[in-house]
Amino acid sequence: MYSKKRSDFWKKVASIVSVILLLLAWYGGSTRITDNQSGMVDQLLINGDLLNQIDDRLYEGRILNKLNPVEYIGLGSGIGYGGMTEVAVTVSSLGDIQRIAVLSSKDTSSYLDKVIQSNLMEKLLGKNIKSNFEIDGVSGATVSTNALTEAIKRAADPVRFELFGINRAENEKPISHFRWLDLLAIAMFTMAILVNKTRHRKKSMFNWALLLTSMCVFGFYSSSLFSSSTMGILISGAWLTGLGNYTSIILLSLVILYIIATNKNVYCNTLCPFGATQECLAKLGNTKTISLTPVFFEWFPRGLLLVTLCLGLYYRNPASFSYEPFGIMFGMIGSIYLFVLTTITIVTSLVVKRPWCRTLCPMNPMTDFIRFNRQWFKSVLNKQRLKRQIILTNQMVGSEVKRSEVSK
Amino acid sequence: MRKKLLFIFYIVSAVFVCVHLGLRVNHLTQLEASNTPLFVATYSEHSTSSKVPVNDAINYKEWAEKFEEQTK
Repeated sequence: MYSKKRSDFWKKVASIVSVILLLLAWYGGSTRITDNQSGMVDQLLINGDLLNQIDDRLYEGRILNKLNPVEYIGLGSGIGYGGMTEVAVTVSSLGDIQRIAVLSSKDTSSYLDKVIQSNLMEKLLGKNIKSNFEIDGVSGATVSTNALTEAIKRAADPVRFELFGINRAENEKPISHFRWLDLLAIAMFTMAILVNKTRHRKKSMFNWALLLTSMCVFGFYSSSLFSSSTMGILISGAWLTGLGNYTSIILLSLVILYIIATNKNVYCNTLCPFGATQECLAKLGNTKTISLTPVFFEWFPRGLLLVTLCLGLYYRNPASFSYEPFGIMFGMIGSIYLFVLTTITIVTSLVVKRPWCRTLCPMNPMTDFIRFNRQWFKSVLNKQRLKRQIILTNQMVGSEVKRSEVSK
Repeated sequence: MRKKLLFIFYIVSAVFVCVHLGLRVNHLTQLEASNTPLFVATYSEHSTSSKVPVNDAINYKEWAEKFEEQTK
């Protein structure tokens, strides 16, 4: 009883400290951000010596002591996986694209690297902005490709208008980021709730059907399962300015709301694509459910998630700090360390059931945090209700006593 | 035996995750300190295209000298 009380006390302290740390990281990030974009634009001049800003998205480059500008630099942004991708395009006075620079990106660096390695930008160099330029997508990094394409097109718009008086931006339809996958995520989450509630004799079969569908659709097809980076995007508010893929945010929001409402987590056992992969591997091997009991193993993933979220908030780039093996598993994208991590997870899954879920998965710390605070909030409410009831009872008893004294 | 395996998996995974995060922090810090674009591609008349190393996007020293000469 005493140790439970002490443990609860430290959990309360940890809960408050983690919220304070997240707020501090957010504040630190906001003081760190400076307007260094114009400094970067300076470096993009090719023939010009002086850079003049015409408006927010357009600069002109001039040679000293000459009147006419020799080149223009346009700025544009596109919506990527984790937020905005900013691009600058240097265009000659004839309208030819001379230089393309990626100023900033909130996508996972591996995805951006894949797009850059595909020579997507080099294919546009030398082309005239007066003509339409179409860009082929890069498979496995569609959202990042779309973000970059959108940003380049938008960067060319102000230059095109300045040089030729053509305003193509007015005719462009805004890209819709709501997709059928988002609707499917909502539908599958509803089905997961139903499957978890039912007492049907084929419940296990329904569960497997959902797991396998989720693995195929949210895993191998779209790689839109949520991770620590999605949690970072959600709390940083980056989704308010636009995201290239809302599916993972929708799934995460539904999971959080359901845990708050019912204290139950239906995602891990019924919808998680990586959980499904581990379950499939477990069927191939001779596995057993093993748990590590020491307190350290419970607290390390919590600390890891907190550090990751703080870094994501501080650098305003949550997608960069994703540490799960999901990217390698479903898209073969990620660092060498994550590749090794994925490999050892796959091998261990053949012997131990769901090793990733039992160790470093960020879903457990998130669920624990919500459940603990929910319970804490409920107990505070119950205490207040109890106090009010006691006061009411005392008042009633007091008035009864007074009434009986008066009648005497 | 399985418990030992899970323990080893835990430690190895934790080490890889920490190294991965450390490298990410290092990369982002360096990138911010350099104040240069993430990637620059420049058109060259001699070839269809060429990538320019970010730090060589413009020779600042040469530019400053030229500027001083012309403004004297």
